Amino acid sequence: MLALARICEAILPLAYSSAFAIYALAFFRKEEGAARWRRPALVVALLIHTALIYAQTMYHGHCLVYTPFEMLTLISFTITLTYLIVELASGERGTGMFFVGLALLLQTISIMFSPAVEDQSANPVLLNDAVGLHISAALIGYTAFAISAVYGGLYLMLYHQIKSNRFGTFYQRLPSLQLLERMSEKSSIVGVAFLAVAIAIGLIYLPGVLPNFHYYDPKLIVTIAVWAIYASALLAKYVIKLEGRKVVILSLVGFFGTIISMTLINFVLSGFHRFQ
Amino acid sequence: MNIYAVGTSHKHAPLTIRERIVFGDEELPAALQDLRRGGMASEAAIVSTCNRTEIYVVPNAEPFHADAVREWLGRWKKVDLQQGHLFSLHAGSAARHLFEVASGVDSQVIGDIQVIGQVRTAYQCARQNGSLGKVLDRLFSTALHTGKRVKSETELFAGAVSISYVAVELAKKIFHPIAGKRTLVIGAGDTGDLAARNLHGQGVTNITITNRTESRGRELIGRLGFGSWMPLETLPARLHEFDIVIVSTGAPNYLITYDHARAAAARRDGEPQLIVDISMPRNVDPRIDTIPMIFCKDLNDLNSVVESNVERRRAELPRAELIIADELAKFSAWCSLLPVTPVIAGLKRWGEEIARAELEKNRNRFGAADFEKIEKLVASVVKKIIGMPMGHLLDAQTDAERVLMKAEYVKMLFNLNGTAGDDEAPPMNSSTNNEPDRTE
Repeated sequence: MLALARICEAILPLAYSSAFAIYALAFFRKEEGAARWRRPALVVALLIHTALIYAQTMYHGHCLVYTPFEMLTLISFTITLTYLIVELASGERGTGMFFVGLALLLQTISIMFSPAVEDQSANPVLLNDAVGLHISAALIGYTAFAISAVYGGLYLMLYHQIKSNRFGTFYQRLPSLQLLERMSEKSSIVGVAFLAVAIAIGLIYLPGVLPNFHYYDPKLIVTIAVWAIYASALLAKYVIKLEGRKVVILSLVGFFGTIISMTLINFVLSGFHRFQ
Repeated sequence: MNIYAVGTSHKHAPLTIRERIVFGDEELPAALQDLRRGGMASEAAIVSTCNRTEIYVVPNAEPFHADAVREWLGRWKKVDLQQGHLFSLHAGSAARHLFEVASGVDSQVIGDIQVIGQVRTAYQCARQNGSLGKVLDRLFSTALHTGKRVKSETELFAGAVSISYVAVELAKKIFHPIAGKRTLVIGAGDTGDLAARNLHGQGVTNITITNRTESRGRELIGRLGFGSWMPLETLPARLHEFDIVIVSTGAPNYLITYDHARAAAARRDGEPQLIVDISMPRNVDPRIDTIPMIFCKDLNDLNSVVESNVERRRAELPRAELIIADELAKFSAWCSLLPVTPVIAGLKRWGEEIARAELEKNRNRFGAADFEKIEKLVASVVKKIIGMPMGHLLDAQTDAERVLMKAEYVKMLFNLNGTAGDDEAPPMNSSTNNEPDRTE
């Protein structure tokens, strides 16, 4: 398993880079070869990623959640998988380059900062069912926010292109504004729902499972703050009919706030949310 | 490749000439029949659109001169055609020209999507009237395949290049789906008419018409066959109801002011609104574009879209030309194999006849089950024996002259003189099997 994990870890960035390059080629130049090979390339990357997660999970006997950087590989995996499902279901391929690009970025960061597979030690807390559910819900929630951010970013890009009469490649290739807004909004709803589950489990079950649990943990506070931003953006959309563009901006603020605060917390502060 | 193309287009003749030699749908069958009945052509097809009339023929006999087609066209249309008004092309040039036509490369507006359909109509018409043989059938199917490749592999057909289509394209970039959107057309002139028709063609059914003169507005609704009437005076109060607003009137002032639009935006709950002003002078205050979620575009903006789309299409021409060259090479290779098809057919028949005769002689020596097995075995051996000379003949790498020479050798070797005559096309390998998708 260790050998498989090492091989997959080495070739996964290459696989993602190739898939990204092919999607980019299809996006910018409409190359027939690129259009034909982009999905197979993505499937290959996804298979290698599956093998990596399988090998690491089997080696340790539990899911990869030692550090946020290990979580990133799972987020990267779920982003790719979600995008592939969306592509298969809707036939919409104009946004593929951006999702594969994000997955590549997250995976590269993950591989650069994660400890070597054999250096990681198991924490028995991770075998608890409630913790597993908490982590899974948080993972899906953050992945949904990442997907929402990609759609939101593309929405703003297209909005400004149309407003400023720049009718270039992005204008030609991207789907309509309303579709991008809806995809961003639906992803946010999924994120808010799953993060709510993660927070609820965390607040109800974790105090009994984790001996050093406390309510002032910075990661817990940031998670609740992020959830509140997204929830209020959605509430504003449905209750006070806030315009779609502002909802998207709020969601993006929430997403980048998450990235920055989580990075700071993990480098500067410590708390019970470390499983090493 | 004995193909001739004679015709004219926007590049060769003025409209006054083109309109006199255009072929209507009802006229084409008779014209195609006349081309063949007169003994001039063994195969014929006519591509006739508002911008071009082109006649493609495979002559019945040599020598042949393209002037014969020009004279026929003049006679048929009773027009005195001058040499300069027509082009004539032969062999590869004729094939390339049709590929360029079907790919939108030769169109007045580069990448005119309609041309694929027009070439398909010409192909179907000639086919239905029995005026296509294997050469023109192959030529037209390859041309359609080429057009389809250019469409899918390049950006030659991308982006709208007319103002009314740009407005529709813009609406499709903002709304999803566009079909259910409420649309208001202000103005009952030709532009309003065209815009309403284009939107309706995209599935927009909720269309309201308004105009200063009610009778003209209602007249437009009658002409269109769809749409409902709204008095122009109610515009400020009802502006917020519409997702798409097309303004095309001759009014000298702003019909939609900044204040109207702001008030409407406030009542739209953040939903986007597209206002397209194709009037001259402008009827919509351009400051409206500064209001969030309102996209206000005037003629200048739309023209810049047209220009950038035309530019993008022009930049795609080299890629389209590569596809055309690729398809032309395949078509030429197929044509070079045409003379050997009777030899191949003769060779097959020769092998099958020998096998059949020998099997008949020995039928009584075997039981029914064994004989069936032997029949299959013999058929397989014959297939392998004749497969070798056939393989040499069909070698795509060999030039046409050598193919003919080899065909002569095979005929002598197997004594095939007089046995040929099957009128079948050369076998298609995977690289030349380019039957177009006719469902497009």
